[in-house]
Amino acid sequence: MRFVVACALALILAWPGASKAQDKTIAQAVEDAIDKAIRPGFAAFADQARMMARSTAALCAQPSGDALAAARAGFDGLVEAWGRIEFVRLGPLSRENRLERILFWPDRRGRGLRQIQAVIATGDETALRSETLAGKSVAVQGLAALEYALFGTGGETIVSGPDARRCAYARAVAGNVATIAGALSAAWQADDGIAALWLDPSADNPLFRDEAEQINALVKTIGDALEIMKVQRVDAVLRKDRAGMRPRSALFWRSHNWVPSLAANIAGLHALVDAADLQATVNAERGRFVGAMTFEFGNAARALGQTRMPVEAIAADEDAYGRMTYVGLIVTGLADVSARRLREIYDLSSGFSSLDGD
Amino acid sequence: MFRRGGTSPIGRRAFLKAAGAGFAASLAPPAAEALARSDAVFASAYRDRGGAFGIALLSEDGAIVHRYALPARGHDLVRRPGGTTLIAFARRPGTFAAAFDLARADEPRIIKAPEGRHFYGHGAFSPDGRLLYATENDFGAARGVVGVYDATGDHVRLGEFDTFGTGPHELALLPDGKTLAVANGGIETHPDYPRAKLNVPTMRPNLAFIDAESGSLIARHALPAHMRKLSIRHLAIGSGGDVWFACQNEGDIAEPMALIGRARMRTGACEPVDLPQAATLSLRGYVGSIAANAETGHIAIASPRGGVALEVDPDRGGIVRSTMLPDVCGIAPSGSGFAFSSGEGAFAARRHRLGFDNHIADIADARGQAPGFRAMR
Repeated sequence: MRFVVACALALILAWPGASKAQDKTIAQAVEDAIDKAIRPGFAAFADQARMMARSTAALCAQPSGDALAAARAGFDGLVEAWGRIEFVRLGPLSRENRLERILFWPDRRGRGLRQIQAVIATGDETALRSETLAGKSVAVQGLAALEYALFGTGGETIVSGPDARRCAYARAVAGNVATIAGALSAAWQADDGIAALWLDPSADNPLFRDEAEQINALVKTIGDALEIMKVQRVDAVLRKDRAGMRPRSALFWRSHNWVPSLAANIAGLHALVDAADLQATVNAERGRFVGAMTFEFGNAARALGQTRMPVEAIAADEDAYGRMTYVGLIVTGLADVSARRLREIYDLSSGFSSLDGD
Repeated sequence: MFRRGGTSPIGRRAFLKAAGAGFAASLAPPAAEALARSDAVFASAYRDRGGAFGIALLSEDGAIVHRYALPARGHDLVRRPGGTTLIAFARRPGTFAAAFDLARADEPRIIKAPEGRHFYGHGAFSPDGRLLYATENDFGAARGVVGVYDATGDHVRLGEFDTFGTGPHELALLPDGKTLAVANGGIETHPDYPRAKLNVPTMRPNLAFIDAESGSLIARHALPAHMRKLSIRHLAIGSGGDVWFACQNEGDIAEPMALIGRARMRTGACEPVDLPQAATLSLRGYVGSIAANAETGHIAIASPRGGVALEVDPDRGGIVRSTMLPDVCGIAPSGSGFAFSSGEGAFAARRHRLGFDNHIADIADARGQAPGFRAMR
């Protein structure tokens, strides 16, 4: 399997570059990426977040097994919607701690978890209403908190208890996420916001001086996403072998959403590349490389689709572990070629000094 | 830091004298000629086209004089004052520093970070060359430390002291020879999640002044609350001994915010320094290195993300020169101006098939201290 992946990536790398063709301009590619992937993606996330808020409100109003199942299913949908756009960190997501307020992770020293547990244990009134929750620690505001409330130790007490305090906290978190998601979507839909900056480069533009910076932002978004997936989401869990695997280092392990969140990341990146139709911005020879990227996105999606199981089960299943290793190899290869080849195609600097800081 | 002073033929001659006849004799004729013509000797970490890492010694005009291999990516370098030892620090979160003896062709001695620590890529020697200080991460406790090494022998680690902050990056020994300035970037990282920033919403960067002998805190400066997402990372000692610092913005970079600042030694004041808004925005929220020219008193900063280097006259508060260069980051004083390098292979007037890392070390001038310094107490 490793050999196959290595050969496929070697093939990608072997494709030579050539001069640009102009079937589609960079500006059109960016516009399509925004209109066909980013805006719909943030709108879908906002919709899912509103549904999540409604389902937790219903759960708290009438606790039942069905209501808890509905809220948990809503969480699964929210994770998927988030996973498709979480890597678009340019602009609105970088403001007002929105990224961390939605997802404070990795929580390496467990500080966030302890705060969440404390809220549930003590019933801190300011954490039980979304309006006041928004002013508290980012660690208690977002998806990690919601996951713990619904799926963590004692989560079933929402129904069996019933634990009104825990449910009220889940409802407040869901409401808070819905508010942030709404603001993100509005910022992306606005005609005079980040989209306008990205589409209209100029000397006065604070983010985009020229076409190179326009395409660089898109390429960097793709490359950074793959790098984060590789280092933080996959390698940190799989480690060197199955015996050394760390299931509890997996994002959303409690809700069995590790694999689905990775699948959402892949699907979101695939959608972004497809929407931009980067192949049309370069000549056929270079375009084949972009086509090879989408081919690899498809391979990763298939392998993830065959491994829809809890991370602990993957740790106990050699075949499943092998498939995730294969996904890791694809992501590693894509991250590497995105950071090098895609940048070469667009005559961007290698980013050796700039891409991930010092 | 010593190397941030101006350069002179005296520096090059002193370097050659220190390196010994063996070093010059070992060079290929073109390299020896390049060195003979040069007023300065620079060093920089690099990656070659094949992905191998090393450090290069270069003349003032960017000609490569010599190359050494490194086991992984290096970051900054320092030369032992008056000696032939050159230390290259691994880029964070690397766990090695490599000690080269310029007078010998031996493999470098590898200095390993102790268990539970990694290097941040920067360090400095004591003025007498007996001690080596390195910024390190006590990642279990999310605490910055200065590792202290015996530089007279095999670089045994003698101990450590607190940097009084999280995520220290560059440190500089002030011209008094006993005060360390440490740029505590405020960002928590852990090797389990390489290069992930774990605490951006709560980061608390500061510029700390520490007694190098006792490890005690002399002063600590934080930026105003609205600027607390500016990670203070790089330092330069300016004319008069003022400490200049450079930052990277972990918040919204569309919002213009001063990315450099100055701690004044005479008054103890520490404040951001505003540049014209267009210049600030051109930096794209990120300054990767800063240097001072002792001859002119000018400061230079480079932003690889903005692809721009700016030379600033601090007295007049204006931009003296703006240089557009893709992925520019390394800076060193050179004559009455500055030399720049880039991740694309540019170095001063030349271009190589290498990617240069973020910093240029002036290893000829391993003594220079900015004049007129008075220690801040």
